[in-house]
Amino acid sequence: MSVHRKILIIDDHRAIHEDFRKILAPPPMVSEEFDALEAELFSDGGSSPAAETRENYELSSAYQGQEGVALARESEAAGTPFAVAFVDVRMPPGWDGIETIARLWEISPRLFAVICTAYSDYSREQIDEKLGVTDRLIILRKPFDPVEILRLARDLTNRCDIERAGGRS
Amino acid sequence: MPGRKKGRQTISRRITRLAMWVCFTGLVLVAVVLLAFDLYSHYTTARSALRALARVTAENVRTPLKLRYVETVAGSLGAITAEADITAAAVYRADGQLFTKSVKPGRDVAPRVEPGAFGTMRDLPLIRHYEPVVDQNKRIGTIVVEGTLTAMQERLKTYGMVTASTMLLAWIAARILAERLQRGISAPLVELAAVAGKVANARDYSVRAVPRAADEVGDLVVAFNNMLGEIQRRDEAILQSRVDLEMNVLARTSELHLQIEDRKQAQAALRDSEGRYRSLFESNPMPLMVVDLETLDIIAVNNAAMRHYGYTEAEFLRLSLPTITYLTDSVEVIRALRSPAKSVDAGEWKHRTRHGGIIEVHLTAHSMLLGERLAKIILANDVTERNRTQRELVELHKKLVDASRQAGMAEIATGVLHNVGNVLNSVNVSATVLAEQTQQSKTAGIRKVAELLQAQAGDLATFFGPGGKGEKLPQYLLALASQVENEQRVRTAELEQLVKNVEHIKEIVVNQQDYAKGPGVIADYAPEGLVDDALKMAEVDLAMERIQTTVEAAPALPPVTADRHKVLQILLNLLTNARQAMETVPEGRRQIRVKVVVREDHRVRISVHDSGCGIAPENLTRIFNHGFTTKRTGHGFGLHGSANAAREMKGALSAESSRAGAVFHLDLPIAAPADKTSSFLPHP
Repeated sequence: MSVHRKILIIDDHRAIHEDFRKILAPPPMVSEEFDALEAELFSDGGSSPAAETRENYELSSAYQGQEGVALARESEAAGTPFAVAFVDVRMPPGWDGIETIARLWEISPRLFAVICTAYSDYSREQIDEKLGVTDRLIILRKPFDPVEILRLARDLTNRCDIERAGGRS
Repeated sequence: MPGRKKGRQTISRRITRLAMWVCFTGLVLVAVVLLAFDLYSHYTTARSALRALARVTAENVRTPLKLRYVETVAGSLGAITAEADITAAAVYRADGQLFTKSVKPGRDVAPRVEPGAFGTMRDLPLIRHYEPVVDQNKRIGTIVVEGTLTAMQERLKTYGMVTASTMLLAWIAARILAERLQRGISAPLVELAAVAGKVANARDYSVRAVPRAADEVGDLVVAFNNMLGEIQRRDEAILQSRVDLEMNVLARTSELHLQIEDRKQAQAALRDSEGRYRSLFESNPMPLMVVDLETLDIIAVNNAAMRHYGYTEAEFLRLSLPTITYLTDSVEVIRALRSPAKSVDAGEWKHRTRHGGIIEVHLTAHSMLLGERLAKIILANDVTERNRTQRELVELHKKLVDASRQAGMAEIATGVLHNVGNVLNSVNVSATVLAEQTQQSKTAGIRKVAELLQAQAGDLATFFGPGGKGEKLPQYLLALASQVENEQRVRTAELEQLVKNVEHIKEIVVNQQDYAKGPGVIADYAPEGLVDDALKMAEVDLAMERIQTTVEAAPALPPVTADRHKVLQILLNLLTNARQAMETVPEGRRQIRVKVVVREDHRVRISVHDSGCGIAPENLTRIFNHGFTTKRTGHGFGLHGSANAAREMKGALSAESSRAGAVFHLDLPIAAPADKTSSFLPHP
């Protein structure tokens, strides 16, 4: 388990947090006992591949931009910074996603930010104008495909991992 | 003396003469009377004395005479004649013969007298008295005593002297008196006369006579002076009025001159301006035409009119204003032009051009007199282009309104999309989770068990026997069952979530449909529910602007009879207005308070308070007018429409404004208690 599998989710809708959890940290469906019995009975079948592919992500939830930034500051201080942040654009009544990301980057400049939007509040140009052209920002349209979330989470945490490892050595 | 004229008797002389005459006459009269009286008394005295003397002597000589004692008688007579006044005395005998006499030298007596002579005889200056000498009643003689009146003559002389000297004195006195009088009366009068003469000659009314004394002459002088003053005043007044008159005449004359000059100039200017106006008319860039007000015939046109309408002048002159006016009868044209005003705005008309075109013109008519005829000079301003532009503008405005309305819709759609998007996200996730679970489901284990049993069918005893694989099978089956049950439970939960989310989406869409559909159904609704629905719909927009929303609903609110769609439309409009009104308000102070209360007029009032900029008092009623907006992009559902909608529901929409912000009140009628449950109607 890498220490950089930490993901921050900032969204004002609780349902979205649930969605993220279902995708990135689903509860284990199969008990260990059942797996053992199955292995014993059907020894020729081999073990189940699904369990192997699952990464373990540490998910943190914030319902407002300010809250998310506070969490980021805490984890930065604890030496376990977030690798990826999924940030919603519209989060009334506090900061919107763009402002939240800008503040997150003040604390964790290496953080990958995925901005989730159900509609075009901001165009890509407007976002670039506000946040600068960067490869650390990914725009994700709602409703999102869970596979896309999984892919993003894995890719970005891996990239982060590699970067940090490279940075350290 | 000054002012004295020849041939004229001066006052002084006349006074002197008058005084002289008065003195003289008086004096003479007095002298004559006194002299006469004196002479008479002197004469009578002398006569009496003479008579008495004669009588006494007669007595004395009676005896001697009788006795003829001549000496004695002569002695008596001599005694008499010794008297100064007695010139002679004689005694005559009865026969008249002189007996004796005694005379003064120079005098003599008559030798005889008449025997009967008696009485007194005057022989001035002598006086004789004849006295009979009687003895024993017998006349024995006559005595004559002759006296003289020379004393009287002496007295006369003296009197004459006295009178003459008195008259001399009187004359002197009169002269002096006259002089004095002249000084007192004549001199001032003469002076006055001199002054009057001066006044008369020099016409100098300013000279004044000097009053010398406070007597009648003084009064006269004063009166004269007053009169002079009066004359002078009148004279001055007359002079002044004459001067005034002359000035007036002068002024009037010059005025007349000026008027004549002016008239000449005006005539020249008129001639000049006529030419200029003609050229102004001819070369005016605006189409001008002169129309006879009676016939409405066109009398004159300018070049611009010919250019603009395409008719030649000759053609124009055969036309009348109604003939070139499109789609209007002449009555209306006349009515528009026949105004008593000098200039009249005749409004817009459509005119035919020569080539069949129609132009829109704005006519302005000015009255003028053309000889005897009343005419109007009409300025035709072609507003075709302007009107077209205006129409385009109106069209554009309408399009803009439509566009902004659509933008408003889009705004709402965006909100809907946001809500739907989030829910859809969960739906997607749920579906994926279900799919994954189905894919990874352990139900395949049952087939595996069945296949295993079939493979071991020949030797089931060994399989299930001790140490056999089958020994673990029941345990596996139990685990499998619980696994499947678990899967089932998770899937059911996920499905429930999915159904719920789909319901949620449906709800959002239904709301949207409600919002978008046409006239709805009047039914009874809980007012709080309507407020909640509206707030839910506006939630995203309000949240975007960081607007805090609070709802204060009075407890136990009665249902209202309303069209849900309309109420939501109105409330959304009010919320949008409130949101837009607070754009300039700093974040954190943006508040919308929705209050729901029951009013006394059997209505429920939903009030939307904002903490925005408020509404200008002059706009408080105008905001409900059609087409009124203070916003750059007019909202899709204006307050006008909202107020109409409120009225249609027998409700009302009103506004208030204060420094704290604006309040809009939506009043809705409380539902009648009878039809309270037939409320929730499905959508058609």
